[in-house]
Amino acid sequence: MTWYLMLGFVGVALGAFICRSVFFGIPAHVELPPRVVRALKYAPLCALTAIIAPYVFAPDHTHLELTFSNHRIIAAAAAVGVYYWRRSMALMTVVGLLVFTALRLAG
Amino acid sequence: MAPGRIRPGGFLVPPMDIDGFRDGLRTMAPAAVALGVWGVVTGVAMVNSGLTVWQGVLFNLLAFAGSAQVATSPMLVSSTPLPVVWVAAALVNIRFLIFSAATSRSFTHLPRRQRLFAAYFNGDVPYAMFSGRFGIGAGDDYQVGFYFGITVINYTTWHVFCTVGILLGNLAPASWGLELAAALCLLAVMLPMLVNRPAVLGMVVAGVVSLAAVRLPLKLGLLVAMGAGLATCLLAETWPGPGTDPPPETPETMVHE
Repeated sequence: MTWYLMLGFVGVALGAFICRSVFFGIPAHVELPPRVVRALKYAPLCALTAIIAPYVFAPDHTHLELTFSNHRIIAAAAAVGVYYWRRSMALMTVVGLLVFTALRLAG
Repeated sequence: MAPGRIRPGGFLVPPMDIDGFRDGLRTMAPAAVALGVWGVVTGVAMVNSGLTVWQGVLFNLLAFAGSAQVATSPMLVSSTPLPVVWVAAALVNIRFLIFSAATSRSFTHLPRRQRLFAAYFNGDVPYAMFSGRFGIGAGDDYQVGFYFGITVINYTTWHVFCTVGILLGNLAPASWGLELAAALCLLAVMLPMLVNRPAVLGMVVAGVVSLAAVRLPLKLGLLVAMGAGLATCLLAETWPGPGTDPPPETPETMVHE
């Protein structure tokens, strides 16, 4: 284990903890502005969408791949279908992965 | 919430309602499967980036930040300057800031050391479960119990399965593409949040912008897309059209199993 790696890990860990805890450290009498609270309701949806979309539609993180040969799109669509059918996180993940693997093996 | 049996707090662990704790365990249990898959996948991804088993385990124990670990492992292996690594990780972790702002309001009645202890366990899934159940506002012993019920499962499941993934890393080749599980898990967390028109519009804009900005370095596209989506949600809420639903007070329970 080099110092470089160790410092890298510790820096990432500190950053993560600071992001997690900043608002937990604020005392009770400090109220968040209503505008911030309103934004907070939608923020996770936007963050998660921004993380997932490139993963599914641009797997190489440089260009869009909107074709049937992009198995991630089909697998994700199947997972969404399963979600609205059964409302199950676990089932949608498993079905999505199975569809993806089946398509990959089918070539 | 009627007061139930209370487990007295310690130095770091706050007092909590036992029924709330059990409620949290029950709520989180079905999601543990998906989270376990996600943990395995993260472990596999870290090792496939070039970290050794012990490096991967140490990194995970220290950071407890899945996406940021996956994002920075290849950077660390290729000796990227540390400030660049840290900034990239912080950008990926900005969402924790949002999660903590929402969740922390339920803990304001506790002393600071207990608040910070609770904060350490916050993450994507606890945030989604907790906010889905209680929204944003003053908390009580039941909510604290619920939170720790969720995070106990979340934390242990994550570390156990991530370690399994690190050990399996060389057995499941990257060509299997199993990192897709991470995206599917996030999708499962995200879909129940589509409760009204502003939410749907925001999702569309965030998605399109994230794809348009996919070539920006250091995951900056992520931030741009988040901001654009959020602005869209707020604008759509400010100028409602006919038949628009009221803003979401609390999204329905995240897991319906």
